[in-house]
Amino acid sequence: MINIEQIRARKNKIVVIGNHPALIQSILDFDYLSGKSQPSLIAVVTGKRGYTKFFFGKEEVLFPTFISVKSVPLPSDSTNWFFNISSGRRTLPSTLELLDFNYAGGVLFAENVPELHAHSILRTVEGSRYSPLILGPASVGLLVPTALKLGPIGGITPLQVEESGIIKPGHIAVLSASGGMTNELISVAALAGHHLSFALSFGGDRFPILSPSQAFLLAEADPATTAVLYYGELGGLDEYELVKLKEEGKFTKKVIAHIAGTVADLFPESPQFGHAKAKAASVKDSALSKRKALREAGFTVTDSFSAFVAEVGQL
Amino acid sequence: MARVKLLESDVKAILAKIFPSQASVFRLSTDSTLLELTSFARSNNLDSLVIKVDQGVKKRGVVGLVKLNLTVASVYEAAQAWRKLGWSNFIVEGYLPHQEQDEKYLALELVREGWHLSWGEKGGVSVESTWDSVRSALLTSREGKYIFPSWLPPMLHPILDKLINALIEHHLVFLECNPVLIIGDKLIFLDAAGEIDSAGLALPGFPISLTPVTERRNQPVEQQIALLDATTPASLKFRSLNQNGSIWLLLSGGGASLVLADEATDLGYGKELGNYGEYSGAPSDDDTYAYTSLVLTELIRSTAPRKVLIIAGGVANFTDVAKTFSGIIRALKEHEKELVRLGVKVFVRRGGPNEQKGLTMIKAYLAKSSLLGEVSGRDVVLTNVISQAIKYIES
Repeated sequence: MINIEQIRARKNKIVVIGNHPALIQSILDFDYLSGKSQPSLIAVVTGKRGYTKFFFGKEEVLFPTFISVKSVPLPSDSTNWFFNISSGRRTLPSTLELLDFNYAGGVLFAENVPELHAHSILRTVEGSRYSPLILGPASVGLLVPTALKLGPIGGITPLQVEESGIIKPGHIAVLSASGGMTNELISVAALAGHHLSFALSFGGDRFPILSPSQAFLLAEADPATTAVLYYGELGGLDEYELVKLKEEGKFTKKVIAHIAGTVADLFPESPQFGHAKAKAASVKDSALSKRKALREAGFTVTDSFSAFVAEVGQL
Repeated sequence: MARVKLLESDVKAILAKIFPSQASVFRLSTDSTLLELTSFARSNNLDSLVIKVDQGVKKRGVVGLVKLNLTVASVYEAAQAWRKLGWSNFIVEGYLPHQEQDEKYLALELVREGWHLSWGEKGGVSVESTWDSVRSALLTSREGKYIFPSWLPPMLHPILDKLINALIEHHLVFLECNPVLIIGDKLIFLDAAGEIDSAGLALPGFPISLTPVTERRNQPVEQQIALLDATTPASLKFRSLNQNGSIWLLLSGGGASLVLADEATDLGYGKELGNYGEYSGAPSDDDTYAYTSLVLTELIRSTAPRKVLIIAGGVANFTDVAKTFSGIIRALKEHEKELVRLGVKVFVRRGGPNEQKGLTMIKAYLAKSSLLGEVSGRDVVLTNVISQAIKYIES
């Protein structure tokens, strides 16, 4: 799998599958504001042959649109990424098509991808000799300051992209299950005067292709990252994998973690919250149990979000 | 969307498709007649029946929501007695006399690595006390056949192969059958609980029609918002907590909503929460208008002496703050007189696309109508809005 340092060093190009003009424009705004001479977008797969127009700074640029993934010519001198905005039901077939090509990775944006479909993608990725870095389903993307904005992560208006401080490189990695909380954490870091080494959201679905522990290993391997801000939720047992990484000495960097979902205790039975995975099936996957396990393993875990913000201020 | 519980009658309908020996069941709903029940018993030659509440409740055997060995008339009476307690949907089937020690436990769940199997030789109502005897394994597959652990009775292998294929076909990602019986070369499912992946259910060509599980004594507002949720691509959630609560939530974003509601709980105000509610996935202003109206109706009805509405969320990636706020303001305007009379204050915190425009708009409206508590954006910590609102209800 590609690492964050390689993403920083190489020329990154993006193919978008599906059309969401505001999201695509935000990628170009990021490129422009980062001082790139060329936009990272190379093509949009819309189902029609033609061209689509976006702004790179004040200049209008035409990008080719394609009928299918197969017909997109991929440059050989760049690291190529896909941003898949297909619907939940179209995500599996379109992603399997993409995985036939030599992409370094990509983002699956849709919610409502069936669990069994995520499973098929997971098995294909595991069996792939390229071992691509795939985020999602239901991920807002991957952000590496100066190098890559793959998805709406960090904002979609030029003002947001500029003010959120995502253009300047720094030393804090933000890893989050939730799209909205990814931006919230980026904002907390910025308010405390920190910039990002990278940020990603693995998505709130039950079977994220890149698991939280794989994301932690990316942060461990990245020389620019000195600390990780982690946001997780009740439901699922991924945090116990993080505990294992820590215990086995595979993860050594500073982490400030917040696990949400204590409000579930007000209900007779844990309700289903906004994200597909956010439902505690047992005591073990409740927010309190996971907070306790992470804390015992040596992570800094906060009991409220205001305490989390205070901890980040101490960094 | 996510995993949703199924009715036992629907799980058994799926099981009956692949295991013809599985006995037929009768769904006793609010519209069922005694005549229908009688003809079900007659046509299946059943003298002795079982009735169970079928509304996704766990541990029914333990909490007395199962009655065994009844006549048709007493089944009907049992249903009527349960209805008075707020239950509305039941499953009726033949009573199969058996020894308690023959009751086994079976569960299958889709996990990240594949299908996770649990099998217990000591099943039944008290399975939790013998939980140590339940064995588990992750099933691997080779050329479409699953490889089963050696401790699993061999007669189950072909049955489970068929069963897992049916689970996959129906996106049934969790199945728990307790108890099951082994009779000859057959597995008999006396009880079956299942969860379906709602995203799979939504695929075209789903092979069976299913009845949604109605939870007991659902608040009407919960039902109305569930209906609203079903008709829009955005996500609108509402759970009633305390009808006379003083803190009412209009949260946005799956993650931030949890964090905000947690904060009230963590500060010791959990019992003051009227509701847990969130919208996400870029709702239209009509969506937020309809949703806000329903929440406001509940807030107005609450008898709490001081009430607050908290409109809060994280820094959105792509939900347009100004657009969602225009729907919220429309709903607030409609209830303005009543809200002002009750001294309700509104506390707002939100960031994201068109943040400035949205915040300026709502601040101007709240100030003019004297509903203003506090309005803040991304430069203020997400959860501050909760402590500000608590300060007001305590003042």
